[in-house]
Amino acid sequence: MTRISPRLDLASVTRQNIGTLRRLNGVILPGGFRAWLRGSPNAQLVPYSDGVYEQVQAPELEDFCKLVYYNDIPVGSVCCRIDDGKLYIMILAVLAPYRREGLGRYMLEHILHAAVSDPVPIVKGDKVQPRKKLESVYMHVHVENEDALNFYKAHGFQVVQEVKEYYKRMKGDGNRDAYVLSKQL
Amino acid sequence: MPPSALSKSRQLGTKEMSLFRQLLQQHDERQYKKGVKTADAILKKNPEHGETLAMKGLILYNMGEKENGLEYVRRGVRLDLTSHIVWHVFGIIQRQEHKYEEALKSYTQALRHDSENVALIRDVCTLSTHLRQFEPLVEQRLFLLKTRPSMRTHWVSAAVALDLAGHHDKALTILSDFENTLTDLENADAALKYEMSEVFLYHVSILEKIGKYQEALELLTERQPNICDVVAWRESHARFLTELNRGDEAGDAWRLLIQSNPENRGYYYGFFKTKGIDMTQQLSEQDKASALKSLTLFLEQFPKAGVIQRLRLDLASGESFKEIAHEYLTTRITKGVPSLFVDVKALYGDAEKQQMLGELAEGYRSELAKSCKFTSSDEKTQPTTSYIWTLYYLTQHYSQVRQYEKALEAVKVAIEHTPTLPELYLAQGRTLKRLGCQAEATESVEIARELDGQDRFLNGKTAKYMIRNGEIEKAEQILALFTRKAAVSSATDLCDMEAIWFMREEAKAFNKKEDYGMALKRLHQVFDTFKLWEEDQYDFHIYCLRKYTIRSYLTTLKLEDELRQNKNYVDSAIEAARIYIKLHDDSSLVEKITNPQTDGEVDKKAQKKAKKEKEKAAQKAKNGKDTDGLPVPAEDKDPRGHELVKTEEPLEVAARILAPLNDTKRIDLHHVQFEVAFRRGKHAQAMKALNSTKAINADCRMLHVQSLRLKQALASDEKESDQVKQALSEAMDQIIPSDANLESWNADYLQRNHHYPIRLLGAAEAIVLIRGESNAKDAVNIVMNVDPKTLDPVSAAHIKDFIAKYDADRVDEFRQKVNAQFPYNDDFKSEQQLDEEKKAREETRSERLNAESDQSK
Repeated sequence: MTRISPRLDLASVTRQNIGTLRRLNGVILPGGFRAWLRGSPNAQLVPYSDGVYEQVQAPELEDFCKLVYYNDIPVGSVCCRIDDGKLYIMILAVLAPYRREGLGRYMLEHILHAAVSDPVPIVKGDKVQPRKKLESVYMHVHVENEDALNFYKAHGFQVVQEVKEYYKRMKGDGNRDAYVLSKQL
Repeated sequence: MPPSALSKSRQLGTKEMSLFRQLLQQHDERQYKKGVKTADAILKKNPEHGETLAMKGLILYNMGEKENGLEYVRRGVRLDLTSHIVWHVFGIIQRQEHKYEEALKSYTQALRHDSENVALIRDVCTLSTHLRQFEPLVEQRLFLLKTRPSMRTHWVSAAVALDLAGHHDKALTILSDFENTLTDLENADAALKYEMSEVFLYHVSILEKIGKYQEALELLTERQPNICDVVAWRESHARFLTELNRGDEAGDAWRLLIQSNPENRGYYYGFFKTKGIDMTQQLSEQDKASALKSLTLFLEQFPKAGVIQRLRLDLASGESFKEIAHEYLTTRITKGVPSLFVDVKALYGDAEKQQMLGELAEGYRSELAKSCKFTSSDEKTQPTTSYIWTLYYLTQHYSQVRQYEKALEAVKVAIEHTPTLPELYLAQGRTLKRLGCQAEATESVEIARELDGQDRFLNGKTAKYMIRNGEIEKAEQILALFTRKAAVSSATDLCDMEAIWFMREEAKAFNKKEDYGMALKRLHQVFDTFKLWEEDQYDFHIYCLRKYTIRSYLTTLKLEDELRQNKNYVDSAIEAARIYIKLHDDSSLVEKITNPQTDGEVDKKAQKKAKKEKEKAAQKAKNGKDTDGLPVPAEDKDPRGHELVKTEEPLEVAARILAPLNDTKRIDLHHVQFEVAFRRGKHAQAMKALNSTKAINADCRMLHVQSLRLKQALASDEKESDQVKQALSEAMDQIIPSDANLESWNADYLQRNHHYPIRLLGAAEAIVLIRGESNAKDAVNIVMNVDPKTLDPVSAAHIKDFIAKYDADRVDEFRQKVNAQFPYNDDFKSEQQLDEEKKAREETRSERLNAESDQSK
């Protein structure tokens, strides 16, 4: 059975559409956005407890913080930051009804590609600062999130570490542990 | 246009004579300072020289000393009443003051003493056109043509004047004569070619106007090589052939046009007219079928033409409609066309189509949820967004057919599915608004706005909802995101930008808050804007004739003539008149508004804001320019509209506002015209208003009550002459028979209209008038017993006001009754209920913000 394929596009996160990113985070992440926020694997507690929404608008992160549009409707986002020459994926999330349509892969492939290319100039022909070389891409995944683990493994990521009690802000008695997955660039 | 020619005998010495000539030149060259010196030199010797005084006045006026300048001009006129110069100068200034009628009078005076001054005549022509005084215009234009026939524009201007005055044949003769003077057009320069092309098309349009299609067609055919506007030529050609019943040729002409632009609906209408099918009328089944068949053929030729597809929906019915509609809806839902519902809304006038569209969309909804297809037999599955657009359509569908609960249910599902589509929140907001739940509606559109700060439409929409919800200050803050940063405030910028919607909404909101000063201020801003639009045409009287854009010019004149029939204008006039009536009826209002005894908090805030705005304005006024480099507007001398409220004669102002309006279809206009006339003691005018109301609705509640009031007033009228009284009482007889027993007259009305709550109120109001206010409780009983099922929110609000006036203790009882019927409507909720809802809204909001937040608590 064939499907009428949707148009997919990415757009940068800006001061104007930040409300859309907020809405997506509030709706997609169970227990609220904050519960899923943590710092780098070594940090004990969140070093950027404020201003994620400010951070994602930084010019040097433009290629790594995107909203994804499905037939012109924003339905998911990817937000990264750069930590010690490594790319860290903070969020990669899609609204439930739009999952399993290749949006996650679309976004992940975009950032993996961007990580090894120079930034695209805003005005064609403008000189751009070559990007500092990034050694790897990594992220935290909840140990019970099978779908996500399979997804990243299929893209060449490997589990490199297990962090106990990583998701400290999660409510309830559930498992708070996370795996760190990483992929060399 | 400066006064130029010198008058003959003005008793100046030779030296002064040459100085005066110098003065005129200095005025023309705008050497104002030198001009004043020259004038003073003449006046030193001839202090009573009128023309010099007038010229000095004109120069001072142009230098910005308006008062002083005007004084000099007036003196000049008094001292030399037979000089064309002083009158011309006076006319120029009156024109600049926008006193066009007075200006024309002065010009006419000037012309009496210098009848062949071309510059003067041209100014007179412009003013006559502006004031629509066509007969004198014709006279002057023909004079100009006779004096200087070598000027091409004089021919055309004369023709336009004759045309405007209704002398079409004479206009045509002039145009023909003019056209014959020109030969060898093929080799003319481009500018002349274009001008003549417009002249020919104008010529043709007059012939069309008076129904001479054969001549029009001949001229059009003859002049085809000279016409630059090919589309206009083809359209006229097709129209004339159609009017002349030359079916096949006409059909081909329309086909040619359709080929050039298949998206123009008018071309298909024209094509069908050649087949004897008038699409603007109700069509027979046979005509519909035959039109539909032609459209199908066109569609094969232009499969992408949206207009053809949409026209088919107009014409089809039954099963065939369903089939076409299915195709129409599904392709657009798949594409994600947000305007789909608005596009097909016109079909909702047809009950059968309305139902079918709803059924189709419901079918899609359930099938999409199940299998991601519109129908189970579809080959391909749909993108996920099709489900959302279907729900969006259904929301608007149910909102339109007043099944609000279903609309809210559909949009709720949609928002849960895709919470990032602003349109969904807007549709939800609109539905809530229709239910009278303005507070909740405002919250909904605000959520949409937060999604996209760049969207000006969302910004304006949200502000509008906030104003309606009484949150005026907050709305102005939000609007400021898109208005000029250098402006004193967003409100002043929007008024400068002639945003009528903003003025209207704020006026309504201030009116509701009983801040009549601000309400009147905004309403007068509406009037001023319309006045400005009217004045805007002034320059075009000169410009268009010079540029030969005659056809568009005449359309503009027509638009200007109908300007004040615009709904915004009429609504504003009625609203302003009602406020002035309130000010007249309750003289304590002025004091309340100008010296509000508010609790300190609110007052301080308002004062602070006013102070801030003043400072901002003062800071900018330093160099006369704001940070955008635009001139700073003069300080607002009446920022709260208090001066407007303080008027000594509110009724006279109201009467002046209403005077130019004569829209016979607006029943509320006649109502308010009665109220003003009645209070001014103008009983004949009041009677006229009653008759106008009666012509629209003989059982109208206002007619019932107002006629009774007038009858009672006439009985004790001492002022009018017997003759007038006689005429009025005869007219009254037609509405309330003189021998009628008022009680039974009212009982009859009640009997006849008891299914209409608003008329029930009319009967109750009549009881108060007949039995006196001491028996008002009888009247209250009548409206208390209204059947809630027959109520509508507007009538209920009027009834509530009536009860509040005569039996305040029972207001809450009535409120509860209405509340049970319209649980969403804010106007009938208890304070407690409103508070609880507000709290719930705030809680939901903070929960949502909390879930979205990146900040630790």
